[in-house]
Amino acid sequence: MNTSDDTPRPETCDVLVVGAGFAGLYAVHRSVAAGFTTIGVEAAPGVGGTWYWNRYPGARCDVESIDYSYSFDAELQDSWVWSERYATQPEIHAYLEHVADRFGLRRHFRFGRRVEGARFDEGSSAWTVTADTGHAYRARFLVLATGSLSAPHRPDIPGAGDFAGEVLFTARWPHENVSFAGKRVGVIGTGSSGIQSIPIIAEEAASLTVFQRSPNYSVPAFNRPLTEEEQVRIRAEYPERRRKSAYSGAGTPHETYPRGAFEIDEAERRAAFEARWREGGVLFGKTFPNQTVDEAVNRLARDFAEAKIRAIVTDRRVADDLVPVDHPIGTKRICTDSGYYETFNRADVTLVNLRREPITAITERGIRTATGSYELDTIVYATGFDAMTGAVTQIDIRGARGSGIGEAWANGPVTYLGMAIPGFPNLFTVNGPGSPSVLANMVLTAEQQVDWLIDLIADCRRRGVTEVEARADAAAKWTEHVSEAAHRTLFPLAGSWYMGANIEGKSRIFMPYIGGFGNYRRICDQVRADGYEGFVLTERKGTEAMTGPTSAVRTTADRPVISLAGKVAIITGAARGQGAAEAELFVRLGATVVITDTNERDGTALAGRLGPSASFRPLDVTDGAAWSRVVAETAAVHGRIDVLVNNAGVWRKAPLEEWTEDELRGMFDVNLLGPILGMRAVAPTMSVTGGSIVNVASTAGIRGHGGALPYASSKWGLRGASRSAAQEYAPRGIRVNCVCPGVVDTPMIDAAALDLSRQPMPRAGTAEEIANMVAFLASDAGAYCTGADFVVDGGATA
Amino acid sequence: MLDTEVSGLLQVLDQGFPPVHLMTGAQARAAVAARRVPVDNLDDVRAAEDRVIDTEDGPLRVRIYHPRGDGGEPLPVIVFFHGGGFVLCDLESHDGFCRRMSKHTRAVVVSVDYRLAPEHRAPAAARDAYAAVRWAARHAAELGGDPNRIVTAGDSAGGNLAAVVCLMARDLGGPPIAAQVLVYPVIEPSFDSDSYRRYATGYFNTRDAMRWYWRQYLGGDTVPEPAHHVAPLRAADHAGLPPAVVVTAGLDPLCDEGRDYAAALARCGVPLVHRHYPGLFHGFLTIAAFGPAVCARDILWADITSILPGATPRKAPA
Ligand SMILES: Cc1cc2nc3c(=O)[nH]c(=O)nc-3n(C[C@H](O)[C@H](O)[C@H](O)COP(=O)(O)OP(=O)(O)OC[C@H]3O[C@@H](n4cnc5c(N)ncnc54)[C@H](O)[C@@H]3O)c2cc1C
Ligand SMILES: NC(=O)c1ccc[n+]([C@@H]2O[C@H](COP(=O)([O-])OP(=O)(O)OC[C@H]3O[C@@H](n4cnc5c(N)ncnc54)[C@H](OP(=O)(O)O)[C@@H]3O)[C@@H](O)[C@H]2O)c1
Repeated sequence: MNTSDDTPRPETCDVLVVGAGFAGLYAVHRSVAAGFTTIGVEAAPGVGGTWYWNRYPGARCDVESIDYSYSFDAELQDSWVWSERYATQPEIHAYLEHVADRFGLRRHFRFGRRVEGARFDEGSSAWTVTADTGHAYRARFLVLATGSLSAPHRPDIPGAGDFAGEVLFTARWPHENVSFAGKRVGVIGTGSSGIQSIPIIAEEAASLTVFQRSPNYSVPAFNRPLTEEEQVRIRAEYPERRRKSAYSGAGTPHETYPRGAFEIDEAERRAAFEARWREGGVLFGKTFPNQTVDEAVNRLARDFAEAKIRAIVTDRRVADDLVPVDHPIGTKRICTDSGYYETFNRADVTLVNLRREPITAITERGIRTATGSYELDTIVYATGFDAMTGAVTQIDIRGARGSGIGEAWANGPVTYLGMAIPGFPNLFTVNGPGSPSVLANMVLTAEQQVDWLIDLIADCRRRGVTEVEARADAAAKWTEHVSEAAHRTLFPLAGSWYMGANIEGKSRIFMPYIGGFGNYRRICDQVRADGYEGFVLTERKGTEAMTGPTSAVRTTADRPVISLAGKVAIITGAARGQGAAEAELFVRLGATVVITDTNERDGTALAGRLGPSASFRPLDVTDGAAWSRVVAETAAVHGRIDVLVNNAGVWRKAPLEEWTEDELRGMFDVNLLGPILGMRAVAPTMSVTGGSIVNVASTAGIRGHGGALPYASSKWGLRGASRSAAQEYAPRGIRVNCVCPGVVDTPMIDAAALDLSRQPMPRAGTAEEIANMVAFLASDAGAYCTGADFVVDGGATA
Repeated sequence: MLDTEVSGLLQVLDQGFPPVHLMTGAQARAAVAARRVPVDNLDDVRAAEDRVIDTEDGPLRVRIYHPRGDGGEPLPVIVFFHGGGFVLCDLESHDGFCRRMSKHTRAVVVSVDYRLAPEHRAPAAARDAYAAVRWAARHAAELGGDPNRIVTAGDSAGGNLAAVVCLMARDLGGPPIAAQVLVYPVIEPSFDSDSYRRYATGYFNTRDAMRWYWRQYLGGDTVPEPAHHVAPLRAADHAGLPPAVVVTAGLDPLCDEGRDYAAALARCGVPLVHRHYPGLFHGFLTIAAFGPAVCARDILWADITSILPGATPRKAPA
């Protein structure tokens, strides 16, 4: 063995996520919550991805912020306030930092490390991943959340290195303030990045020269702060808005005009276009149905946009140059600007049409074109990205059976569902080619894919599958489908980065899936329902040794017997005492816990203390509607419910005559009806995965308890309910048991006041001792227990 | 189902496949043979020779495939048993498949024309299979093969034989077998697994056909002793068996028993690679021009190559 090797020992984990943008952060969150040991690796020193790197002036989103933000956590959604319709880069970056903190994600990441290589070892079904810093990782699953627009394109212009002035890239903008004051600035590139930054640079610079190769369509953002009323309305409408978006074409709730462009008269058409234009941004590209399918409809939209440009730009020749002639509107991403066209009316701004006078060289003092020379102090490259594939192919990836990513994608990216690549088991891309990605709201596309992938990985764990790989033929067919879908539209007519057309030598193939986000979601769901048709699921046992020495990967399967890893649990009455002890133990054993209680203050505080695996939901167990809400929310956020602990209960000792009828009913409602409502509410969701219900009864439900008749009766009743439920639910894979604590030291009972000297173990139990039994029954260790009572009482009933 | 190629082909197969369970063995054989497509890959191998070998039970026909490429190192020897429910198929039906296997694994393939049911009942086929493996081990050098790298392989009923032969070799004194390759193997004459219930009809191979096949092989409903030489899951234990490659298909009545056998092997410490193909049906892997089959075969060839121990070095001349 070579122990003097100075490369560090690889860190091992179940799931390695590359990237800390919207996709990578969520992937780490979900992976951790599912109980996988998880490491994130990110090249940047911090979180944010796109929004970490693209700090150029004017950078902001072109999908409304209320849509372009996570939907997976209602509390996050309700607590974050977007100041504008389209938030600026600093605000989006702050949001992602907030998310990272709120869910405790940073500690899983290794920042400042760029992944350079990844090699799959077939014998042990694991990836070895290496970073530029020399760090290495071994992981069973590798999730590349490396971004569709994260590998900047730096054009190879002769003499570029000779320029003596300042050089800036929009996609690698410096953190310190850049001053253009008094400078002669040149911007190369008029895509979204150029078009957002140009008006702001023009304001400050002594002069600005814009080097435009191809004009783009741009629609004003009409950005503005969100009013107080809007904030209220947004919150009220959020659930509905997200529901609509989840099955929409592009991950936002917007729809096209209800009638076709040719079904209405000129005046109505103009009004429709005008209204869409006023809404601002990219949506104009989809004013009418078929607008990017039917050339005639598209022509109408182009004419409208052209008129808008010409109405703003005063110099007719400049306007001629700014009007796109080479592509149908919407087939390249429409840019979203604030004062772009107006900028060209300024005396200190010059537009250079590179189609007429191409750049021949960059010199020490500026840019030379075929017919002119432009002296500059600063050159800004807004030249785009090696989109969709660049960040993946930059990594030297070696898969199974000797395949390398370069060869595998030599003729364009081949994927199954845009997530898996044949020959590369256990490797997944998020927002990759072949998925809706850049054609939709990429926050929601990331959530949808990550959810699907983490489910797949969890399914693999459950079934003992160590390797999952897309079949080559299935991927070929999917890729063909992606291409066919695009060719039913006008999109392939544009030389866009969707087609790889912006990178010299890159194969021309339409990369994103244009079939619609909602349709895509349905297809993915269908594939899962069909047992992952199109994949090969492989189980390897004992083959490590056969491919030479490799350190085996420890997976969660090797953990102690009582593990709740990957399980989602609801615990009632969990804000304090017994329930809180259960919540704490459950989190420690790897569960995701939904703490419920009527005591919001303590519940929220506990959830905060327990970290990202715990959350709080208010719940009065006697309220059936509240149960439905909690179950629906838990299922929506976590995708499953494995465990219900009916812990909530009330205790009172008093002679029977002292109870009012309402008090009697109240005790039965909480102690007996509550658990029954709970069992009924969770059963449909729980039966999907199977699960365990633990009802906390009492030794007072085993013998009698004179002086606490209502309490003892309710607990006797609960035991009956449990046994009956066990019989009823066994066929649905649900176990139901009772834990019967004796005297326990919790706020409910003043144990110190009791004389326990005659009990075999003459002391009160602790909340932890009860929680241990509850955890055992909740875990798979208790797989053969159902319909039984488990007494934890220090021998009191012996 | 997402894959229209699969659903389309299933429809054709379901409509075209004769109701063998309503026929005699000979009728069924003729009906199935009539559907055979001509082999289009004769050139995959350097040579294929038919031989008749001597066994305790009499002469046994085998076809030996030699891969292309220079002689050099001794090659692995794959003894292959065709599928067909112990009743159907022969050397011709799997000729194309054997040629591909020989080419892509660079192995000598010995395809065995074992005796068929109902004319010959269990364990006749297993005895032939075992005899063929012993013969191959003894004659490995003569075939250009490596006696330390004998592999048993088979699809469907052939998978049963490939598994059973390993148990026989373990129990009856060799020869050493380096790996077993079980492609959706027939394991147990019990027709009530979850997959049997779900995919009883509509997925090419039916439960009725399977019942009929087993009845032909067993000559009734009872498994002759020793039972695990016919139904390999019944072995008291599966320790000491050669490393296994097991392939199962999601829409196959035999899916669960294949998985159970893989699990039994793994439990006893047998190195295992189990490839499961959701959305595919029994028999898919030997269909020549079928996308999923091309993919699964590529993976299978690689698995066979990688599960085998490295070539035994030639002894240096004394
Ligand atoms: C200026 C700009 C504005 C945009 N506006 C919108 C918008 O309004 N709406 C919209 O839907 N989309 C927009 N996009 C697209 C945007 O990229 C996505 O919305 C989203 O941010 C992508 O998130 P992600 O996590 O998939 O990728 P990214 O945010 O790109 O994150 C990927 C991360 O992976 C890291 N990484 C890559 N390779 C490696 C490696 N080898 N090793 C380590 N780390 C690596 C990168 O450093 C990066 O931090 C915009 C893009 C840009 C450039
Ligand atoms: N939220 C937003 O508003 C926003 C902001 C920025 C980015 N984005 C996203 O990111 C995507 C990329 O935008 P982007 O502006 O960064 O890149 P882009 O759309 O690819 O634009 C790059 C620009 O650089 C030009 N260019 C490239 N190489 C050149 C060369 N050698 N010489 C001269 N000109 C050259 C291109 O001209 P050609 O067209 O002739 O190739 C194009 O005008 C957008 O489409 C969008 O999806 C969104």
